[in-house]
Amino acid sequence: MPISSRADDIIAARGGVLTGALNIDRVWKRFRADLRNPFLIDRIEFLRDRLRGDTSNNYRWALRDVDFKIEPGESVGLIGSNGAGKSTMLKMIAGVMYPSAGNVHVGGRIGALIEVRAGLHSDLTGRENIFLYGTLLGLKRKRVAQVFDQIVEFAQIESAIDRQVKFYSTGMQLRLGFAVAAFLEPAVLLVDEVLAVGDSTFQQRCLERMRQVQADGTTLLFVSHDLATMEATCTRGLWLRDGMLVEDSPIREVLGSYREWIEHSAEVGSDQTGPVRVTSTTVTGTAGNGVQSYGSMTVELAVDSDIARGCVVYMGVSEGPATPIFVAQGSAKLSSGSNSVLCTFEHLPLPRGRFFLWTAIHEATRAHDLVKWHPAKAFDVSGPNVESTPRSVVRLSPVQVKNTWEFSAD
Amino acid sequence: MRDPATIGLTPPPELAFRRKISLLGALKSTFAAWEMVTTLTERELRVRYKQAILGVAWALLQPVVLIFTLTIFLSKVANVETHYPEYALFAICGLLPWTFFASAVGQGGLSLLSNLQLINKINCPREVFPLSIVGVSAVDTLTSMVAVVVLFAAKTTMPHALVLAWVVPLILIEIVFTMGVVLLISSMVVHLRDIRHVLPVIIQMGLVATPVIWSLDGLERKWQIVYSIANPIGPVIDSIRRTALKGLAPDLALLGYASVSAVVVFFVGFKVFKRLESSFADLL
Repeated sequence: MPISSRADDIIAARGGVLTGALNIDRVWKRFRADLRNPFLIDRIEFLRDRLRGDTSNNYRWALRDVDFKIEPGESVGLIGSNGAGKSTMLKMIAGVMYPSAGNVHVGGRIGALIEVRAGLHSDLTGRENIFLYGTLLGLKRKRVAQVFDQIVEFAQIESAIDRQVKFYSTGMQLRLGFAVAAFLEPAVLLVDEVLAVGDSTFQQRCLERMRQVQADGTTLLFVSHDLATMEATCTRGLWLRDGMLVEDSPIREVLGSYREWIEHSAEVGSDQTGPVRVTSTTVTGTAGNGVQSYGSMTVELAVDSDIARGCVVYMGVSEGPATPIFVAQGSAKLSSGSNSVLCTFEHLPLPRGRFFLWTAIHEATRAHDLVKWHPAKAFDVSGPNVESTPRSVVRLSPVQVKNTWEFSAD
Repeated sequence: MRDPATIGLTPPPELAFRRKISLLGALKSTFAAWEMVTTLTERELRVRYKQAILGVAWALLQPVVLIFTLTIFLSKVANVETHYPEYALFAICGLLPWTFFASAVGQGGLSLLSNLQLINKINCPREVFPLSIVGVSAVDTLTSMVAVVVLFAAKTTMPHALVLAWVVPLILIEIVFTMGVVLLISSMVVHLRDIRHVLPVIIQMGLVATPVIWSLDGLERKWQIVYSIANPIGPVIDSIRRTALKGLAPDLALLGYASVSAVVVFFVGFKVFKRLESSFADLL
């Protein structure tokens, strides 16, 4: 893609920073605690509260003293649980929302991939939408016309370009929305969890495109709950918790402490009131040491049961609070009172890092669960430090398989 | 890793965010965003005419029907004295500027609410949304000029050429005033949604309060001046009638008051809009 001079932009840089740079300067953002509509009656109630001196629960701080700088061309991941303030931060960077205190400086035009379909007008054709959106992003029509073909090609809607968008399939709308925002030469690209909605082909293409614009010097700010993709895409991580920036370091370190924190909040254990209860979970490695790559791992569950019954025990290992890497199941006969369940995994194909053990216990008929599928324990695997994969490999592999190589010349 | 406990509960007062915008700078950026206004206007028109089979005809229908009703009831039944020979021509000279204003305010006032998806995503200058609706009304008014031509032809009357000399400043006053009101209303609606329900009532009252069916000549001189300041559309309509129907020069004093008032309303509207702009995304 040719990089044009951005001199023909309508929207000038905010706050005099370099093109592609972000300077978030001690930003605070306050919201009304209740999302009532701004009708006259709400105003009157608000005033009444104020006259009574009751201002305690009128406001909520969505962001508190968030302060960071991003250099042009950096790729930064923004992580945090729901409601931590990520979207508010993105909206502020996109320039649609203003801080209550502090300042936001952004160099150059923003391409925001937030709810990609939202900017499309369903009564207009694909062609008309591309021009409308491009103009609103601050490009001259002439410039939009120059990248028009690339957008259409990426979105794969050549045959439908003059059809109204309301007759597009969901996938076509997504592709068009992404293509428009990603091809209109943003200096900063904000990506908010958009990849979660498309199919995997589309996700691959989007990630490919994101890497390409990044290689062209575009700054990337990425929000996702898919930590593996984030690890592969970003070099630096910012962690927001309850509206505060608690960590700003290389992506691996941030993800490490984020996973550790999730473990603390997830490790609430199982329900202790059911007919079957897991009272303790222990994970041990070979000969009482820690768990090692390619070593064996023994999991011991102490299980209490009201009556004697047959059941199926499930165990699984995952990297984060997400899809398991592998699962195992075993049938057991529980007697009434305390029981012990032991499972040994051999040749653990896990690289060095932190993993989660998930457990569940179902009735022998598998009709319903006695103990829900839940993350029961976090454990660390020690092993050789594996070279990180090149960035073109999208997902970092969660398993490590022993391998041997042979090279020969014919 | 930063300890959250070190972060206070409220920001220190010296950090409070103040958006620094000069009136001139804001006007400049509005002007720079002109292509956005025209693109949005185009979008509105395209969407509307895609949905309606009769398309352009709808824009014509409304003034034509109103003219018929007004002519029949007011001149024949109510016998309104206007000092003008043809009541139908008298009425349409007032109706066109009024319809332009009314439709711009009626739709433009709600333009921020109807574009909230875009407003939550793109950081274009927000005034492009209400201003594009003024553009839509302008196109509609141009279309209904066809009705004017037909009406003059039916009455076998030619408008006096003098109107051509005055049409540009008159349109300017009208547009500047309308833009000011639209900016004011649209930004206030976001903060006080009740306006949305009051707006149609006020616009309906405006039809009677503006000299569309009556003539400004009937007022005492001092009330004429007060009226010109309060509603610049009055003198605009009066000037159109004097020049087009009688070939007389407009009342320059009244027109002067009207232009000053229109410019003031525009700057007030623009200023208020820019002031409230920073909280739009919080409330929409």
